[in-house]
This record gives sequence, C-alpha cells and structure tokens, in this order.
Amino acid sequence: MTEEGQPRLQVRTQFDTNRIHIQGVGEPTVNRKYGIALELRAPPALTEWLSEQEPTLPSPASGSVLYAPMSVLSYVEHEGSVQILIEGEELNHPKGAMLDVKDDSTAVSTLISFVKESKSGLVLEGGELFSTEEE
Amino acid sequence: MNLTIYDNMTEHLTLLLSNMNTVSNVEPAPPPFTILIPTEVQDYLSTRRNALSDASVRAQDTVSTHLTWSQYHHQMSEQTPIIDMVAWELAYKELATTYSTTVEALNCIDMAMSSDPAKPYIKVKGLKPALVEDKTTPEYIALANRLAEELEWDLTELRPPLVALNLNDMSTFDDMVKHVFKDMGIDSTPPTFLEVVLDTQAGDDVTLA
Repeated sequence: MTEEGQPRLQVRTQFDTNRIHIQGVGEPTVNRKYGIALELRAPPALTEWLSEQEPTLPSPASGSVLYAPMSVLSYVEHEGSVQILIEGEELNHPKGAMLDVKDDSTAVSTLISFVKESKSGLVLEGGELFSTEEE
Repeated sequence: MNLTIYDNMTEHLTLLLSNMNTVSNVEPAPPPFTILIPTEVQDYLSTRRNALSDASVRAQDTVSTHLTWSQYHHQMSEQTPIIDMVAWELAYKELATTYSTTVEALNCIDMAMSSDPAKPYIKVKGLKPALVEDKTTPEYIALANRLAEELEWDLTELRPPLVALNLNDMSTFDDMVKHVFKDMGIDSTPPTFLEVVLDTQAGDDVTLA
C-alpha cells in the first residue's frame, strides 16, 4: 500500500464528453508521484453513462471522491487481448461497462504497460472475451 | 471534363446554400439570405445576455456609492461578447444536423449571427474565398480533407495552404493548451504541439465491447 492508498485503477466520473480520465495508483511512477494519469478518447454513450455513476474513490491528487473503480482484464487464450471494465450500473455488462481497446493507441499502450509492469496485480485474468455482438 | 477539387467544393457548397435557403419557395434566391439561429444557440445567447444585463443594472444601482460593480461590468463587457466561439460551435453542430451536412462545409460559408434578441437570425452572405494569393484558405483545407475520400475529390489538386505554422506558433499553441488544461482542472500534462502533430491516430481509444 502506498501513501495514496491501495494500488488501484480508477476513472473520473465527471470529466469530458469525448474523453475519460484515468488514474493508476501504484508502482511504477510514470507521470505522477502516485503512478499514472492519462486520458483515453471514448464515445459519448460511455461518458454520459459514466457521468451518472456514483463516485466512490478519492483522487490521490486532491483527496476528493470523484472516481469509479475500473479494471484491466487480460485474456491469455486470446493472445493477451485486453478489455477494460468500469464498475457501475449495468451498461453493456452486468457489472458496468466493458470496453474494447484500440491496440495501436499510444495512450492505451501506456496504460497497459503501467498495469503490466505494476507488481500490485492490477491486471486481472479474464476467461472469454466479453462481447455484446451476436455471433 | 473533370472538375478540379475547387469546382467540386464550390458545387458541394452551392448545393448546401440552396438547401439552407428555404425562404423562397420557388427558385432559391442567391445570398444574402437569413436563417433562424438554432434554439439551443438562442438559449445560450440569452444566458450570456442576461448575465451581462444583470451586471449592468447592478453597476447602475451602485454607481452613486462605489465603482466596484461599474468596473466589474466594464471588464465583463470587454471580455464577454454576446456572440462568442462557443455560440458558433453550437450553431455549427445544430446546423450540420438540420441540413445533413458537415461542420467543415458550414465553416466555408460566410455567416453573421445577430445578437439582437428581436432578430434571432443568421445572415448567410455566401461562400468564403477558397484561394487567397493562390493559396488555399484554412476552411477549404479542412473541407477537402474531410470529404475528399467520400466524394472522390483529388487532394493533390489542392494549392498550398495559406496558413502555416512557425516555431513561435507552436510555442503559443503549447501555452494555450496548458492554460486550457489548467482552467478545466485537468490533472494531466498536456501534449505538446509536436506530440499532437506526430500522433496521427484518430478515433476513440476505447469503445463499448
């Protein structure tokens, strides 16, 4: 545990129409003394839902409770594919919002590198890739 | 004969002008003509107008005893035009939906928005120039890049851009972005101009699975 609290990933509930703001608390420190902060471009359907979620986690920068928990899921059987789960009311997943990531995005790569280099177990092993698309 | 990209763009915009000019029910009259300011923009302008008005009467009510509100109103008047860039951004988005067009196309049209609440109109004056001194204006650079693929325009026909950036502009851009991030309370290091330019990725980083 760091002075900022338990290692974790979290996303600001109120931020922007086209971006989500993510904080990663823990080692390694990338661009913040508590770990990492970055933005990912996201569809308005997600940011609108996110703005309606109850924040439960504090910002390590300000101490204000503005964030919702999120996780990075890695799927070994799918060549290490990654998805992001933001916890909250059901959007497209029973636990909240499940997101696919753009593999060639620099910001996504930075986030994935952070969680994979972290020794705090910020990456969860997923089973089957989640999808709402019909096969 | 093949049209050049400038003819293509003009044809596209002329059709848009014709669609916008619904006042005449026979042959669309040439510009200038007027269209209604979209309701959302009118509401936004009302908010700005009301705030300025409130500050004005407060200044009037107190000017005989002190100048605090008078000075405040003076500063506000200088820094707060009724029609600002946010109003245009809202208008572009609404008009793009109304006329099934792009913000880039609308930005090529010479328009003026009235700040008079009794005349909630946008005057459509015609098309902005595509070329100045044989160089392509920024509005048409954006239009060409937005629609060339979809409408099979030949981007190689474009004359050089009128506006180019030098090192000072890049530094100004970096300062501006830093201020925007600070004003928005964003707890992140803003990207530099070069990072933005070199990172050619577009589209969302994440999507709903």
